[in-house]
Amino acid sequence: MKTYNRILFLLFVFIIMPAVFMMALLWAPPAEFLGEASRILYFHVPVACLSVISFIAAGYHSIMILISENNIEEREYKSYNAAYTGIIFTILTVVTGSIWAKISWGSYWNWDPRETSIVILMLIYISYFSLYSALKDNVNRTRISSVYLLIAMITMPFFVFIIPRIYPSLHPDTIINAEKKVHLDAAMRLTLFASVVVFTIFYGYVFNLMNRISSLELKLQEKQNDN
Amino acid sequence: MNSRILKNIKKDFLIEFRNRSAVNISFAFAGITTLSVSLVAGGTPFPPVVHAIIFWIILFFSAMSGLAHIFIREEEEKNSLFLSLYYTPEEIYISKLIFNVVLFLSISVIVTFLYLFFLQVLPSYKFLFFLTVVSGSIAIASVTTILGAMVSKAGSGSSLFTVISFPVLLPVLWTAISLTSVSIDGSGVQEYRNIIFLLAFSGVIVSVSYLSFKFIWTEF
Amino acid sequence: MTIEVTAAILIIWFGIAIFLYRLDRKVKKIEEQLGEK
Repeated sequence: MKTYNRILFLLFVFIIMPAVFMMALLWAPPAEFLGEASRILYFHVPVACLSVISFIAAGYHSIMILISENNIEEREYKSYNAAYTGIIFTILTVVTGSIWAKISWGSYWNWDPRETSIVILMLIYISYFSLYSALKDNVNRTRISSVYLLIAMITMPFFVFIIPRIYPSLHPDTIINAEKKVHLDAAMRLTLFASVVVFTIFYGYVFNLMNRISSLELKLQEKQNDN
Repeated sequence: MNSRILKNIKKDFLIEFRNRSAVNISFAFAGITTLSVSLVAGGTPFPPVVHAIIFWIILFFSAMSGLAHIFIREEEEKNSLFLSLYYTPEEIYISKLIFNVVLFLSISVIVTFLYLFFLQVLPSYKFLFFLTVVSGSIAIASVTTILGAMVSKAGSGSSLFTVISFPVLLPVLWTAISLTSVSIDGSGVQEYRNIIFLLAFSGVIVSVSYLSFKFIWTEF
Repeated sequence: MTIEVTAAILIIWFGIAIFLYRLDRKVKKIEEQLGEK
């Protein structure tokens, strides 16, 4: 990336994002029932979306590791970083969700089906990290952990999309729902959309940064091995 | 290919009969737990949910103690290289899978009888209970096959196996426990679609593992 | 109350932003060094 474009991109991220935050927190009208506390919606939904997206990215890179022989090291750290950011965003989803639960329904944790499935998803990805570090001295570490990520990615739709729709849940209607419409006010819809977009760009930037750092680590290690 | 798979399964069964380590450990665990629970509980009636939970916990931990052996034994006896020379990875996977499923189904049948006998529970919806145990066991066996293969390559023992299998098996346990509690006390709607969920889960795991087993097993 | 929350979030955000910006510059420097060699 050319330096000029990069600086422009950074400015975009670092100025537009606070602007959207202010928009979310100050400009959007409060929802009827929850009042001002409903603004957590604009943080909870993007991190939830992003955790799903980063897990799909991790699964995609794992499949590419298994299928093709080139670029394995690059894809290895990409899948690792994607799983890492996925875990962070999942933890954020759980935290924002439980804050919302406290405000709406009075208790921090309810073992609601949707909450429980997110926790199970989080545990699956945490065991990915245990597997990855337990295989530290193994030559086949890349492929074995890729298979595990693949299995995790395959079971993910069960958790995020299917189970919460089978069992009755306290969670409010999600964006992907039966009537295919978003039940929100126009201004709120705009803020939510802007928030999701901005968080996605932020995620892309952080992911890119992590990948650059990992590739630098790899190059440094190669240089050390050469010397 | 089928006859080779059958030969492989027969070999595994023969080794298992001579050695009996996996089966013994699982049965010992199941027997000990059931007996202790029944001993301590006396005749106190548990609510059906508690019965369901204890039953599936016993099954889950019997699986954890018994089912990893199948691959760890291969690694310990250094047979894995011989296996991959003669059989293709898909054949190895199918034979291990069938072996695990049969093993775990027999373990779960015996555990079921022990549990029903010692704790004097009689399920009201017998057919649903039977289907739950069968499909839950198939799901647990299919998941532990592929995860056991992965862990055996890691070489750090069975604690890693338990840690890794637990989250993936949580939805199976959750569904199976709720189905079992419904079938024991006889209240609530008989939801056969949860059985379909368990079978679908097994199907998905088996197909993904079948396609990706060769990446785990063969060492480049 | 919302004003305090907004202020807190913006301050945290700028902290994260400055951290990421400095990290980006360090990474860029190392990349250029490695690119030369």
